[in-house]
Amino acid sequence: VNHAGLLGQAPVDRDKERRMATDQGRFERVVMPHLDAVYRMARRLSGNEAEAEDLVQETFLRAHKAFEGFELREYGAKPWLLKILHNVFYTRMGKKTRQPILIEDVSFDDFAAELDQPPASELGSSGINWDDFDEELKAAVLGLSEDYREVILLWALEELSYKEIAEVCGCAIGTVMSRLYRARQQLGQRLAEYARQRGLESERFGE
Amino acid sequence: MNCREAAKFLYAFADGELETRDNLHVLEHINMCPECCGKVTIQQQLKGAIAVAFRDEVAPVSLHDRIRSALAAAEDASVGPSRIISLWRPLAAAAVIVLAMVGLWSFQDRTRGPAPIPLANVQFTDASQNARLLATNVYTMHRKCTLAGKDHQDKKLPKDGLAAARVLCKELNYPMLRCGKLDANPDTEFVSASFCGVADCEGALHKGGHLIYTFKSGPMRGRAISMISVTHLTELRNLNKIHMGERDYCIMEPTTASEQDPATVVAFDCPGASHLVCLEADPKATMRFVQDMQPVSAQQAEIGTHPKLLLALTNH
Repeated sequence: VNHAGLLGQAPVDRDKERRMATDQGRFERVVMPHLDAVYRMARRLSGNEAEAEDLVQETFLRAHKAFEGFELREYGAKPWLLKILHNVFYTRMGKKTRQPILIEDVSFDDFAAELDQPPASELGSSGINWDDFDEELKAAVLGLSEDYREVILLWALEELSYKEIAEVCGCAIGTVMSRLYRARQQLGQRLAEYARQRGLESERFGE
Repeated sequence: MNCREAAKFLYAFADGELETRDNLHVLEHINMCPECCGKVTIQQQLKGAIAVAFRDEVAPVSLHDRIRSALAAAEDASVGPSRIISLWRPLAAAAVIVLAMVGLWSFQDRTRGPAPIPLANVQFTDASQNARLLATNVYTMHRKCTLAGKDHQDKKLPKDGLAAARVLCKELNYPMLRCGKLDANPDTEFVSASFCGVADCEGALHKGGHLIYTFKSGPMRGRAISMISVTHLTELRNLNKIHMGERDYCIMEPTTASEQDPATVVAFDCPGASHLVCLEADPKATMRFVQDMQPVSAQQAEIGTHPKLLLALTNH
């Protein structure tokens, strides 16, 4: 049994060198594939195509500048890019970028306190044919306020975890849960309204 | 737990974000309550429907070109200063390596077990001869099975990753490894499950269960990830470990992998079994998935009668 190479000195050295030499290739491989995802988010945050393109370009330029210090293991490339986009977007909006705060308040009790009042309306438990509501769902999501729209899209479209969303938005996990909860409530209410307008039985939406 | 108490957990449960204990409580309630079960299903459908509504949007080709030009221009603009800096790079790299070595030595010296190392600081793979041999054995088995494609599927096992893991862990009587992210990820696809084993460094064979997924899109398109779970491999005790989160991981590169076609094997022990994950990617990409993996015990398999609910149970 050979334990001589346990610490693996050589691989540390080689790996590091290789990484530096191929930073450019790495950026192409690791970051560029997420261009569509960043564009989709930018498009839906800003609400217009030209602005979305500017946001994406600035996001990628900033990412390129910061790439050398970027560690994939610490942060997936997509959440990292979306975090940059978030900051670029809110800076441009003239809103102060949210200060990053300690992500410690995962407590359900904090979040649950606001659930004491049962919601007036929400998506119920019976079957819904989602294909019938594609356009309405889109309109309902776009009708949400920016904060809510952002978490809903990060959650559903980009499939980020609560923790990743918190990192992207620079807020606490409890805040993410609370925004997601309210956003889903609002979506439920709007879809129920659409259903009523179409003359469908409102019971289908649990009202 | 009644409906009112369950209500505050339902969304997080549907999203697979609950801790195991809360998950079990909600699961108990949901198994008895069709209404809450329906609410969970609707929330999962809502998520899928939003993704479908927006996912077709892609960046225009002109934007791709525009960004590449902007990046090239930025690169040119920084050529001057970066040349100067580059003289110092080897020195900086050497300093980092020395620091890493000091860190590793002191981590070995501890008698009470290594302190957690932040993921960002982990820079090495296990190069001991045994590690390489084990990694190569795992990779060889992985390649043999992935090349068989769908033929690798055992007829007795379900053609679904989650269901197969449940049957495997019951048949073998030890936990199988599951990664909810693989099932939830639109880029990955379950390929096959079978009873396969690996050879240890002495050549002894260990029977186990083998689950294989492939990436059908995204940057890792065409590559495969597989999980082999076997009874405890004493081998792992002798390998260099990195402590992260609650586990010790052995991260190894097989000798047969090349820079163009990298492969990484990550092994770790959990109560009841040793788990070996092989991904055709570098250690960093591999660890991104491995950290989301949770063993499914036979007991959990009994509880999860609803595939989505078991997914929520294991994907926390």
